[in-house]
Amino acid sequence: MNISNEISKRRFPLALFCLATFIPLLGILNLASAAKVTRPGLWATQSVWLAIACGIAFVIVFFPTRLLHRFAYPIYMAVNVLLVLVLVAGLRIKGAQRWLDLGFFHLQPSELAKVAIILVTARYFAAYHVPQGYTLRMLFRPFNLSRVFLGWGVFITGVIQQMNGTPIKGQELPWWGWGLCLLGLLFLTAWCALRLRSEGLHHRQLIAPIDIVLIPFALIVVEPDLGTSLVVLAIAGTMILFCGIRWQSLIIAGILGALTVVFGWNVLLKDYQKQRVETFLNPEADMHGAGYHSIQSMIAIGSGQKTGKGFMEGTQTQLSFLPENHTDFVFSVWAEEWGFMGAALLIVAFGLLLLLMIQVGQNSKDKFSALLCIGAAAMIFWHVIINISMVTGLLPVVGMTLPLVSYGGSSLITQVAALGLVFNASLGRRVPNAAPVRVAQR
Amino acid sequence: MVGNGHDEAFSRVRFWTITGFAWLFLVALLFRLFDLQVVDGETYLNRSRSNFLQERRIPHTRGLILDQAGAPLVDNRPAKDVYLTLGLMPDSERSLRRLMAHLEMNYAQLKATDKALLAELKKKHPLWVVAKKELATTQCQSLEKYLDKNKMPGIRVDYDLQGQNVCQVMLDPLSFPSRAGVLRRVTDVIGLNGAEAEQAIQKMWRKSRGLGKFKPIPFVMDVSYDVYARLESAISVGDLPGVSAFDDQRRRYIEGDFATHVLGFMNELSPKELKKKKDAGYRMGDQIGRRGIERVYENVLRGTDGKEEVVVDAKGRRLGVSWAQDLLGEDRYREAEPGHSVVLSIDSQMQHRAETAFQGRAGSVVALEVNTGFVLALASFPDYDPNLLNSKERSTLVTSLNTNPDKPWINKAVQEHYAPGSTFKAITAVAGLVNNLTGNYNSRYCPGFYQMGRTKWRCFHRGGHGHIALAEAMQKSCDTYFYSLGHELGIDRLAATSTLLGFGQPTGIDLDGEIPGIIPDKAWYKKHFGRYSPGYVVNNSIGQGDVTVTPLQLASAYAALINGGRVFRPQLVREILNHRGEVVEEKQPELVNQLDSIEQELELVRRSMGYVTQKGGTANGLLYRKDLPDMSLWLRDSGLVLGGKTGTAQVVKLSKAIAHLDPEEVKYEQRDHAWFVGFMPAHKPEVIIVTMTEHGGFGGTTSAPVTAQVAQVWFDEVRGKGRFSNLEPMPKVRSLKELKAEKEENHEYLQ
Repeated sequence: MNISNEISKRRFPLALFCLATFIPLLGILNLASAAKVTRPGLWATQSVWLAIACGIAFVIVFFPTRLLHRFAYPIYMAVNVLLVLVLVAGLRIKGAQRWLDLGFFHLQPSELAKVAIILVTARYFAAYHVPQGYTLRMLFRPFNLSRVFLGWGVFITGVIQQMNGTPIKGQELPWWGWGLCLLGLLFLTAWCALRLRSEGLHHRQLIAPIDIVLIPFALIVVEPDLGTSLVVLAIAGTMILFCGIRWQSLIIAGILGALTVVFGWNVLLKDYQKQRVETFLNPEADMHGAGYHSIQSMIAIGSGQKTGKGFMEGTQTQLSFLPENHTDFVFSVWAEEWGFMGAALLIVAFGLLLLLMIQVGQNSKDKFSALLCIGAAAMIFWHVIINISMVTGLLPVVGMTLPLVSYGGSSLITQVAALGLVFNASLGRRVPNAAPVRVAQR
Repeated sequence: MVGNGHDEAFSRVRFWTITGFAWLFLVALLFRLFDLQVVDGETYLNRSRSNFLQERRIPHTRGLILDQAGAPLVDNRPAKDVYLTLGLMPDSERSLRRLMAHLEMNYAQLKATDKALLAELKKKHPLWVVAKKELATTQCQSLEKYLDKNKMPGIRVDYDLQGQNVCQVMLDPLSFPSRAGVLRRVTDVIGLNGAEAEQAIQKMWRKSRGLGKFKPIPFVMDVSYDVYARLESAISVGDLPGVSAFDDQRRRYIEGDFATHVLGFMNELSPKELKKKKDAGYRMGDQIGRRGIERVYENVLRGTDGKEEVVVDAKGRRLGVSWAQDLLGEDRYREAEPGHSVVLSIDSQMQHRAETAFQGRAGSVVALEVNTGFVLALASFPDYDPNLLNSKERSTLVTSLNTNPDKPWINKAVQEHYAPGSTFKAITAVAGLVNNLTGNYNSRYCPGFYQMGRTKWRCFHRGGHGHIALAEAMQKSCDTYFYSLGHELGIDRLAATSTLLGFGQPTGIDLDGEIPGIIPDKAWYKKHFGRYSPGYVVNNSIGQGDVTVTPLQLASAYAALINGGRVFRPQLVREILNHRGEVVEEKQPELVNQLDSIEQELELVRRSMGYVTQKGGTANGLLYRKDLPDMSLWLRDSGLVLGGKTGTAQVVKLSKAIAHLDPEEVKYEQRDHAWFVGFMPAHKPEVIIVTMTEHGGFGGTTSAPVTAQVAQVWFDEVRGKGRFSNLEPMPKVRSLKELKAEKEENHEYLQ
C-alpha cells in the first residue's frame, strides 16, 4: 500500500501539524532568552532534541496501528521493568532516583510510562467497552486471583519473619491478629474459587484495570516523583472517565479518594513534601524559604503586564531571580517578556492543539485510535494546567514541565511521541472494535 | 462490526464535553493571568523593580561649628559602622532542610538539631554537633557529592565508626550556615562579650521591627579601624553573609569639654522618632542634634544624603553600568549635599578664660556684646566631654552625670533661675527713676534696718549707712535705701520695668530649653499665695524674695541699662556658611525693646556702678587681690574702669543665724550664691560679663575676678582684631603684657 496515498485519502490534520510545530519552535525561541545567562547554548541543544523527537515521532506515525494495538501490553511490561530498574540501579540526583544512565543520555522511564499508560489504557478499554458505564467493582475487582496470591504472599512472609524474630518495624501482630488475617484470606480464596468455577480462567480474573494504572503509579511515587505519578494517574483517570463511569460509582470513588488523600497526607507524604504543600497554602510567610520560587514566578509573570518587557529584557529572568527558568518556569519567562498578549497566545495555542487532537479522536473509526487521541490530549492538558497553575501560584511547586516548551530531552520526546500517536490515529488504519461487554443486570 | 462511513467509536457528546472541559480550565488560567498581569501588573512590576534595585546611600557631611574668628570647634571624623541585613543571613532551619533528605531526618529531628546548634552557640567554646549518628555509608557518599556541588560549610562526615559500615555527620555551629552562627562570629570579631553581644542583638531586633528583611539594620556603630579591617577581610571572602561595614562620620568636639552647653551633642534617632522624621530624609542609624547649637541648628547643619542606585542579580552581585542605564535611566546618581557651617559669636579665647578662671563647683559665665546682643562667651559648670557620649564609656559617663547633684546636663546660664540678690538693685533703681521716686539728689537714711509696721528688714551693714544718696547706695549696696524705694514703688511698677528689660520671659536666644524666670506682681501673689501683702515688694526690691532670673536675662537687661535702653535678643550665631565657605546668611542684631527718654536716668545708674570696683565699693577688693596679681595689676593700671554690681543671694532664710560663721563652716548647700555683673569700659561699655557662682559666697570675691579676667581678654586679645577691627581705638589702654614689662623694668631699676 502506498503511504502517501493513504495520507491523502484521510484528511491530513494540517492545522494540527502547524500548531504542533509552532509551539516547540516558540519554546526554542523562549529558551534562547531563558537560558541566556546560565546556559547560553541551550536552545541549540533543544533544537537537536526536537529533531530527534521528530524522528521518533515519524516512526510512530507510520507504525501500523494494528501492531501498536498488539504490542500495547508488551510495551507496558517493558516500561514497568525499566521503572523497577530505576529503583534498583537508577541515578540519584537531589534525593530522587529517577534516571537511568545510558552513557550518552539520562533516560527517565517515568516519561515513557506516560506514553505506555496511554497505549495500555486505550488497549484495555477499547477491548472492554461497557455502554452503561463502568462500575467501581469492574474497575477494581477486589476479589480476583492476583489479590489472593498477593494476600497469601504477604501473610506467609509476615508469619515467617515473626517466627524468626525479625518482624518489620511496627508490624508485629498478636496471635489473634494473624488468625483474623488467615480467616480473611481463606474467605477471599473461597470466593475467588467459586468465581473461577462459574466463569472459567480469563485474564479478567487475574488483573483489574485499575491495577494497570496503579503499578506504574506506585513505582513512580517511590522514586519519589509525585508530579509525574499524579500525571500518570490523571491520564488514565481522564481516559476512564471518557469511557464512562456510572455516577453512583463516581460518588463512591470521590469519597474513597478523599479518604486516600487524608491517609496519604498523614502517613505517606514525607516532611519535605508536606512542607511544599504548606508553603503553597501561604507562600508569603516564608519569602526566601520554600515560597521563594512561587513568589518570584508570580512577580515575573505579573511584572510582564499587558505587553511584556521585551525579548531578552525580562529582569526576573536575566538577573536570575526566577529559578529553574529553562525547565519548570519557562512559562514565567515567556509571560514576563511577552506580557499578557504573549501568555494568552500560548494558552490559546494549547487550547487549539487540544481541540484538534480531540477532533482527530472524534473522526477516528475505532475505539483504540480514539482513546489514543484522548490519552495524548489528556497528557498535554494536565501538564499545561498543572504547570501554569504552579507558576501562577495556584498550585504548589511540583516538578512539572510545560509540554513542548520546557527544556528537556525526555519530556520533549514523550510529548512529541504522544502527538505522533494522534497523527497515527488520524491515518485511519482501523483496529477492530471489540464487542460490548454484557453486564449482568441486577 | 466494521461500519461504512458513519459509525463512531464514542458518541460525539463525549468529545465535545471533554473539549469544553479542557477549555474551561484554560479560560480559568486566562483569568488568573489577566488578574496577575493586567489588574495587579503595576504592583508586580514594582516588586520586580525592588528585586533588582539596590539603593546605596552616599552620606552627607555635617556642617562645622566655628568660633567668631573662624576656628573650628566641632568637625567630623571618619567612622565605620557595622550593619546587618537579616534577609541575606542564612537560616539554620532552611540549611538543615536542604540536608533533610540526605540525612533521612524527620521534622522533629531537624528541630532538635537546630536547637542543639543554637545551644552550642551560646557557650563560650561551641563544640561540633552530631546531626546524624548512624547513616549508611552510601548515603554519606552521596551527601559528600552533594556538598561538593553545593557549597555548604561546617559539615564533616566521619566514616567507619567502630569498624561498622556506618558513618556519622557532624555540624560546626560556628560555620554551618545559620543566623545565630553569623551573629556569633560578628560579635566575636567586634570583641563583644556574651552580655554585650546579647544586648546589641536585642537592640538590633527592636530596630528591625517593621522594616523590610532586606534593609541593613545598624548593629554596632563606630567600630575601631582594627575591627573594621578584620570584618572587611571576612566579608570579602563571603564568610559573613548579611554583614556589611559602611563608611560614616562622627562628630568631633575638638577641645572636648569646651563650651559643652553651647555646642550640645548628638545621638542616635530612636525608631519612634524615625517614623516621624522619615520624610525629612532621616534613616535608621542616623544621629540627630540633641542639645545646644547641634539641636537648634539641626536643619542648617544637616545636609542631604546622596544616593546611587545599582542593579543587582539574585545573588546580590552588582551588575554593570549598561544594566543600570537600561533599567534605571540617567538620574540614578545624586551627589550628597554637605550641610551648612555655623559661625558662632563665641570667642574661644574669652570662652576659654571664662572656663579656666571660674572658681566654684557650679554656675555660669555669660559675656555679651553690649551694643549688639551677640554672645561672646557662655559657660556652664560643671561640664562634660560630649565626645565620650558616643564612645564605650558612655554608660558610666551618663550615670555619673545623672547622679551628680550639680546637674551637669543643665545649661546654668539659660536653663536655671536664681534669686538675683543685690544685682537686682539696679533694676529697682531704674524703676524708681522712671517713676520719679528718686533721683541724683534723693538721699535716704539707713539706720541699719528698714521698719514697716512691726516688721524689720535688716541692712547687711548692721551699723547702718546713715544718710545715703542713690549713687552711693548702689556703690555700697545699701539694702535699706532699696527697701524704702521698693516699698514706695509697689510690686506692680517694679514688675513692669523688669518686664520691659526682658525679665520674666525667655530672651529668645538660639539655645534649647530656655526658662523664663519669675517676676512676681500682685496677680502672681494672688495666684500662688492667695493674697498680696506690701511686705513682699520690700524683699523683691533687693532681689531676694520670689524674684528669679537666669544669668543670661541679667546680662541682657544690664546691657540695656548701660547702652541707652536698647534690649537686644542675645544671639549665638553670627553667620551661616555653605560648604565652600561663602556666607549664606549674616545675622543682624535684633532689637527687642527700647526704653525711651530715660537716657539721663540710665546714665546715672551706669555711672553709679562705675564706683563699685573703686575705693569704698563692694568690689574694691578686686584691685588688690594677692591671689590674682595679674588681674589686679591690669585693673589698676590699664586705664580702663570695670563697672558692675555685686550680688550675694541668700539661699536659706536662716542666714541671720549663720551670718557670724566663717564661710568655710557653712554647709555647701547653704552658702550664698555669688553674682557679679561687670561691664567695661565703665564710661562707654562694650562688653558685659555676668558670672554666677552657685554657693560661691560673696559676689565681689568669688565671681568678680572671673568677670574681670574675661573682660581683660576682650581688650588684650579680641578687640581691634578680625571682625572687631573697626571699633573705635581707645588711646590710653595698656595691655597686661605691657604692664608686666613696665613693672619688671621698674623693679630692676629700683634694685
